Amino acid sequence: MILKADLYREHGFLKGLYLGLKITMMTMLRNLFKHDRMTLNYPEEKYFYSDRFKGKHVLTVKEDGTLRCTSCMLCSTYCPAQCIHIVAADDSDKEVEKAPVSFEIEMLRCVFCGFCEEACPVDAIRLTNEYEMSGHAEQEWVADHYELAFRKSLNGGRGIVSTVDDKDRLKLRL
Amino acid sequence: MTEKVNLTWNGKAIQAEKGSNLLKAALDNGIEVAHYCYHAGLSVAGVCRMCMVEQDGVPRPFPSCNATCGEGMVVRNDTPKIKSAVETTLQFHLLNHPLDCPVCDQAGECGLQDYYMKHGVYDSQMIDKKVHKEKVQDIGKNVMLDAERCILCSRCTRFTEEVTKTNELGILNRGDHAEITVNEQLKNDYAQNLVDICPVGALTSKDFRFKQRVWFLEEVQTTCIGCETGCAVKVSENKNGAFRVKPIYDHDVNGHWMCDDGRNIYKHVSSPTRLASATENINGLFVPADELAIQATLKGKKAKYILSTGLTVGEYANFFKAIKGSKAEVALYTLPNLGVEFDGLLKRGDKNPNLRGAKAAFEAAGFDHTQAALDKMLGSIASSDAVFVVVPEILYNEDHFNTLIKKVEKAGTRIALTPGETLGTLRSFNYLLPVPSFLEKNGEILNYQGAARTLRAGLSYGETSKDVSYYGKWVNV
Repeated sequence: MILKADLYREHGFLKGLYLGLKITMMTMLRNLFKHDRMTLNYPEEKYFYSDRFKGKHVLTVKEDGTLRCTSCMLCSTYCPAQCIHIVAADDSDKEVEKAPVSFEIEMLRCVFCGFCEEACPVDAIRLTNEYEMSGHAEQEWVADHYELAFRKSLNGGRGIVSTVDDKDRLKLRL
Repeated sequence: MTEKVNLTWNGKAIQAEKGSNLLKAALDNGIEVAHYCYHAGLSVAGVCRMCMVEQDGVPRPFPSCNATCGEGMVVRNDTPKIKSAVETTLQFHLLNHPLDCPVCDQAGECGLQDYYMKHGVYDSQMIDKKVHKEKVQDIGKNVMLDAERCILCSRCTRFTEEVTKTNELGILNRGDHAEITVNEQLKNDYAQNLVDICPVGALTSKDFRFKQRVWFLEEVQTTCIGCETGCAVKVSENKNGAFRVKPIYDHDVNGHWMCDDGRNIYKHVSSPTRLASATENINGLFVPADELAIQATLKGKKAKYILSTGLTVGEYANFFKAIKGSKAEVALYTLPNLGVEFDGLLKRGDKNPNLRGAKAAFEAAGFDHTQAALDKMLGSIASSDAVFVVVPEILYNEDHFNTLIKKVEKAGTRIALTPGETLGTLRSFNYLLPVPSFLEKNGEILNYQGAARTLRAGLSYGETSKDVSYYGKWVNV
């Protein structure tokens, strides 16, 4: 609806007011009886964004349930908000060699740009369409790798298995 | 002055020492030539075939590292022929490379990465499976070997053969099954130089392993304080502290190398037990204290200072200036010799980094620096004394220092000025005060030759003003 200044000039004040309100009323009545409203009764009803939405991060896991991340630090290097903190360590498995002992994202600093997802060479971090994040204290906003990989919303705590599976990766030597 | 010869490289006239090789001449003149196996501190092997050049009148390209400079030579390495030669060679080097850069510690300073960006053929033509070799081998002395990443440049085998003469490493088998083999665990005292000279990620440091990615680090050029040699080193550090020490080429002192003991000199700097502020000892518990309160307890007491040999020339001068005119006694604690006097390469038994500077400063100020003077002072300590002990930064022999502390215990007020970790032995002191470590101060130390070696302050360290001379002024409170 665009407010037309010449509505008044053409029709005078009263008729102009009527014509303007008519549009408002029609929309209101349509919304009352026809259910194509834009608003939702949140939180009972929820909007589902597409998978391309950049919401809360997830760390993918391998088939055996361990983190896919090799802690190469490319995401934390690339991160414009510098909110990713990784501590790497030796892994007992020689094929894996390096794995994170701690992977933390400061959610309050994160700008959800998705650069970490782009930088990751092993599909270990993704942004999901989860947008519900709330917390009180600042500490609650630092998501550790348990939350990032194994929170309830991800396959009931089992985590999301990355599609590139390890045997394939080793075969390809990616 | 050595004789020079003139040659032309890519149309640019350069000068080189007569008898030196072409590659060295180019590198000395700032011309970029890709190379892996050539290292100025080692013999020429000519195995990597990356430094190919063309010479006028010579039909085929040849490796420049194995060619001697001659007067009037006209050499090029920017021709299409050379470019394709380097590209093909690099392709060959990368045939069996596992490409585990995300995991590899060398990533960011890797020769393969650097040259791949310049000379890489980006599409792989390999249809066969890669040859796999053993990864994650601990070959001793803080060195990790990954045989897969190796490009067989033979720098490491030449190092153990020529520099340390211990021959622990060798190349076994042929073709793409050739790999670096360890016939015994590394045993030489210079093993971690292997990590530095390895152009790829085959040899990495166990100490530095997975601590940081190298692109997060900045390097500060300073001097090693591990012994009196005073090797030129660079310390990699960032806001989280120091992470590793590497040697810098210094013709007069250390050449290309440094010893393994020197690799550990950074550890006390960012140690979690490092003292941050003035601390008071209350029945064995160290609690933060107020400096003014400590000064108040010193009133009417006779100040005695026991300095360490790790201070800079400037610090000694400032200290003696600060205590000038007072009745303070000053003695010098010298670290005991450790191991052989000189091991033939770099390591020296005398572990005092600035003994010559200390002696000169003591003599200039009219104090006695000898052990006899220290013994005399320790013998005369009474309860009315306030003894300041400057703790040496690196204590190779803690027991020797403990005997000193035992003798100090008679004094009424015992104050330790510590640049390093809070050692358990410091429990007998009343107060602990922090002083800057070698990474937090600018200055000079005199090495075994009497040559001035520069210490440079690190990038991200805090307060450096409260050095020993600051506490020296307390004598006049």
